[in-house]
Amino acid sequence: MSDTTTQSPSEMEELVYDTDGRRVAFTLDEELYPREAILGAAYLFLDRCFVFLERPADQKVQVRLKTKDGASDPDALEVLAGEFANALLDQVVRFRVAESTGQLREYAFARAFFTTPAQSSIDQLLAELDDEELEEDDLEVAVPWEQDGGGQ
Amino acid sequence: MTLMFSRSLYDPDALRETVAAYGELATWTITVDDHTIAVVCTDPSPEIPDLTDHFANHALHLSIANARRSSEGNL
Repeated sequence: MSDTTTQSPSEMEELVYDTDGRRVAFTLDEELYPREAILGAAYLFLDRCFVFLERPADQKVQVRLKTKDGASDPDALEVLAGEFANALLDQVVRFRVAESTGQLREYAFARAFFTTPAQSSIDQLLAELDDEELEEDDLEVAVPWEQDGGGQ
Repeated sequence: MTLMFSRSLYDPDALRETVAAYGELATWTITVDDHTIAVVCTDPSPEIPDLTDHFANHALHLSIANARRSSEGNL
């Protein structure tokens, strides 16, 4: 019998927002959201709102967003926090993909930049053609007619 | 007013650059220790609302840009 546990939507962890006037704040766990992803999402929001990051505990980052226009609409703040959470997920996926394909990318770059081919591709093709021409010709087309005794 | 920045999130050089950029709008004093960067803002210009928020945004922008530059340099 398999021992699996399922999590209902109500038990799943959700971001808890605290709104206060023009501010909305929430705390993120760096084990779920890497620091690079949090900074990436914060960078995208710098032109839309004031972003302040704090470290309330080890592996925790508190994000505080404050509107620039002076509006203090709680619904708008919640929408802002939701959009930040979406951007954060996008950044997490980008980070994970970059992390998992990093070695492959480095290998491709190293191969492209640090290996010097003996011949260029065109030289290589010409050499292959020359080799083919020098191979034995079953029909002896390459032997001049005079040398083949045809002139006698 | 004192602003406290975590060194694990903000770059001290970015904060020094921000202090230089905002030097005409207030008097800024920066103190860096192992974990935090404390910035004291005195005599802020009354013409700029949310001056410290603008300051923090600029510092975060430069911190992220510096972090990206240094990670690109390590490739």
